[in-house]
Amino acid sequence: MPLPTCFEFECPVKTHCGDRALENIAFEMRAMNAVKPLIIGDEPAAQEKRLVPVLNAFKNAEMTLGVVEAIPVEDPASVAAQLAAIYRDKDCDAIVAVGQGPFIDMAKWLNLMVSTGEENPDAFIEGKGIPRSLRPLAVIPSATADGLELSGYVRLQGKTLRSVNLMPPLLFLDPRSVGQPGDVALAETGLTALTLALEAMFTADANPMDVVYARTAAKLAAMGLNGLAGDSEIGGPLSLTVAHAAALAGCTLGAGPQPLAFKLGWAVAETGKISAAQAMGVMLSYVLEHRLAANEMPADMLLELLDSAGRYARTPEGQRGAAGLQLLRDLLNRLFETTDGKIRRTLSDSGLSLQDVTEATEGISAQGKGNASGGQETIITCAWEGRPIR
Amino acid sequence: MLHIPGYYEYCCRVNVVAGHDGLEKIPALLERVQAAKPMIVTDRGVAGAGLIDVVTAALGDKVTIGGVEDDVPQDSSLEAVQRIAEAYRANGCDALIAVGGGSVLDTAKGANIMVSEETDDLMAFSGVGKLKRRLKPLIAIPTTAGTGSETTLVAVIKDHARHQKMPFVSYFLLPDAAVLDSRMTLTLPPAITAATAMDALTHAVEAYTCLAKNPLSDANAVSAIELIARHLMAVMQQPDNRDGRLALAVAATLAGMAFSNAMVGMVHNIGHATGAVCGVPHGTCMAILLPYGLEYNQHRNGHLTAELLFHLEGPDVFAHTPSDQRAQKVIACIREMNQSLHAITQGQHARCLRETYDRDGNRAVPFERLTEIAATAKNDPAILLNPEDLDDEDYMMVLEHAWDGSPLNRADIAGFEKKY
Amino acid sequence: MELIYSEKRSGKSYLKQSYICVLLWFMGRAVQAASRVDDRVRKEFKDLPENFTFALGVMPAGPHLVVRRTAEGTARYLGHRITPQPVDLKMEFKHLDAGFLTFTFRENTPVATARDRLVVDGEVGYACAVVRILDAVQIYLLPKFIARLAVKRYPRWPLGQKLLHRTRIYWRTILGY
Repeated sequence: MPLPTCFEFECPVKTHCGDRALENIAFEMRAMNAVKPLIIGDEPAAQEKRLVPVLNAFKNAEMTLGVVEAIPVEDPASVAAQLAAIYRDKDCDAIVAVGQGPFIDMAKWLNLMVSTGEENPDAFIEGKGIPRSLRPLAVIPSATADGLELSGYVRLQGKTLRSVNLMPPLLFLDPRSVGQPGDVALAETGLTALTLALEAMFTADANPMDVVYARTAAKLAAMGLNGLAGDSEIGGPLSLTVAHAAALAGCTLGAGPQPLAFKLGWAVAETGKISAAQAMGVMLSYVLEHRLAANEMPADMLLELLDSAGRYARTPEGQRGAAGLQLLRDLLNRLFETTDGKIRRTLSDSGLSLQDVTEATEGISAQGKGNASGGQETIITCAWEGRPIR
Repeated sequence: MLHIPGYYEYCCRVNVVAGHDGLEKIPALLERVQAAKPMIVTDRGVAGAGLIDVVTAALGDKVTIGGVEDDVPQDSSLEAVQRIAEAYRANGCDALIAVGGGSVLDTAKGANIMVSEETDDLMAFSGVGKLKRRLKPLIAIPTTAGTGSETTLVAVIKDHARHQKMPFVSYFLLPDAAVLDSRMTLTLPPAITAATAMDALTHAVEAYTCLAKNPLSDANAVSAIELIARHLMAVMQQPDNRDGRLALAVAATLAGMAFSNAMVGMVHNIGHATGAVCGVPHGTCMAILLPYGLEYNQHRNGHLTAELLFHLEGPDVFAHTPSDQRAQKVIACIREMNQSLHAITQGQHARCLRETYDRDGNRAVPFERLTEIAATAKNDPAILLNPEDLDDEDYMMVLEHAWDGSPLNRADIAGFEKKY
Repeated sequence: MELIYSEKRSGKSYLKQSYICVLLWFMGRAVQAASRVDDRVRKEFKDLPENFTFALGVMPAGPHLVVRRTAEGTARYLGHRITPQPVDLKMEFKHLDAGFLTFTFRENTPVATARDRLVVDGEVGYACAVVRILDAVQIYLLPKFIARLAVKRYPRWPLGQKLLHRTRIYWRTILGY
């Protein structure tokens, strides 16, 4: 890939991943001058008792911990306001959030509130006024992530704030805290991560520093999904691999515009017939195929990312792109088989009509990083039918 | 292939701005951190090459420059730090811009601690994690494409009066931004271009092949290796190749990100010692010693070295080389790179320690001093993360070959099994 | 809905802490013993500056082992507290569990360093010597199959010498001289 002649990169996230990652929270807190973290967890985390290892990890840390468990996410603004009151009242000085998806949005918003004193999200629209250093926020995601946990996005009651400064500075991935979701949920997390990562890699202006995160996230996601699809040995527990992929995919996105397949996935999910992750998983290969053809970019590297350098090198140059796309589609087909059809291969598999999909995605613009204009109709039709564009 | 250790940490918080007009982004970067009057810190060499003029021209009238301190010594010293901190306060500055290499950046970091903590006692903040809050904004503009020091959270200041080195380690020492601009390295002489690029290559290769590797530092490393492999020779042949210069600068920063997370091994270990004992420039030591480090460690990490062939030479060479010969091929490629650089620089780029000379034209590393280098290397912490240990005999074996320019004898290395 | 706030002190893991305490105490006295018995360890200490003091331990509040190089060039074990004596080199595990992994020989020093488990502060230049001293002491104290896990490469010292030194170091460690 050619090097862009001008780019900017920033990722304030510090990753801690693997055995006894949680035990480092206290050390990192002390390094940021925090002594009394407010530890918050969402309802699934409470049900699966994922807060227990987090609290235990503070043993011998000589700290006082504030704890609020089983926090609902239905009304994030009022929950965040209540938590902010607790945070101030109890003199907390950092936040540790154990959970996924919208709950992490709420935690980021809570941090913005307690760091700035501002309670109205409108004050921060377009990233304005978000200071560079907020209070320390540690995110402990699960393997049922929606991919935005580590990004600079905060979705709050229909509004979206985004800024690099909203990316959580601390990420802890530990086999004890990622949970053990079922295969379908894991596959969905993996597909979301793969979508964010591959779309970031295959854009005309991808810079080598973004690619570092994207590449790693893509390989991890492919490793996790291949493991779920029943082959290849994978190092370490499957749910950690998938959670790892999703977290790094969020870092890849940062505060940049959401990529096309990701947006289309969320739009199609509005129909209620297919999850966003599955819809983006289906559309990914078609979006990539279309974009690469339109920008005359080779899809060759897909083969290396989804399989290995060896496979890439021994496949003749002219066949690499097609083989890569085929590998992506095969992956979905295999997941379809191992999950008894619960992971869809095409949009029509979900019972949606082509018209449903077209209507659901009407408002989505292809504007954004590296997307070729037009062609959305082709992408959707092919993804619905499950037929390659060419 | 993805190598996932049982546990790893990765952090790279520096905001990197890169481009042919990277410098023009500085006013916006300063505005982002609410600063308006930066002090420029640099050394005589950089200023003499006219690079400060390029920087100030790029800043234009958008920024008031609070002063230019251009006499940072080769080794960052406490006196220079104090002088810069005083000038900063006297001129009412609110940010620092460090233009140059490691010592300039370290000096700027030291001055930043003084002005941010409003202290004259730098020693009180020496050590790991003594800094507890954000410092004044600091922007780093590297002027060689090699050290990657713009990505490190360390500063070392020498107190010559007390014969002490003061180390500082803190995330708050990371620059707020690193600006990579092709204009900063466009006039770098060929021998320095070669040595600094090999320095960056060594960072990347050691980060990938030593013990603290992780999937993100690996991705940094392979990107850096690909960029260097693709652009170094082009830049050597055509020094005003702007795209190539930018690529090498980006590669150096990527390699810096890799090694500041994954650390390094015996190449740096012996290289540091050779520099300390004989004054050989760091990049030169790296270029010479890299193949030896890979050769020595091959029984431990040959499979990792082998993977680098894909990135160094491309898929065709990778596919054509049998898998058990790939590591050897990587080592051969690096030797060939050194050979080509030696030819292009008319012998200025040394291929072995015997070929290094000091300013007066004397041999920089006399053979008799190898024992001294070995003794110094034993106490350099870079060895901790090398996959294999080295005892006195091993150090001498590697140094003698590196002095002479002959490959290591595989039979000697196989002696490990007998010895241990 | 009302959120329920609770507050708790981070607990203590007495078992792990006691284990590390005992082990560090034993190691500290063994370092002192080895500096009087083994030539390699003696030479390492001789090369350190006089009164150089190093500590190995666990954050945030210990335990540690603190050892000083005496004027005679041997080692003196100073106990498990960092204060009151000033320490020139501090090697600390970031948390109790990291220390426990290493002191139960599941992660050796290089792996623990690679995994960012340790913070080294102070006169870093002497860290290598300290690591070599600790490696040698472990080789004397531990049976080969465990010591192999603790060091990067297990040396071939003459068997008779190793056994003799091992016995002497054990006696001196227990009796504390």
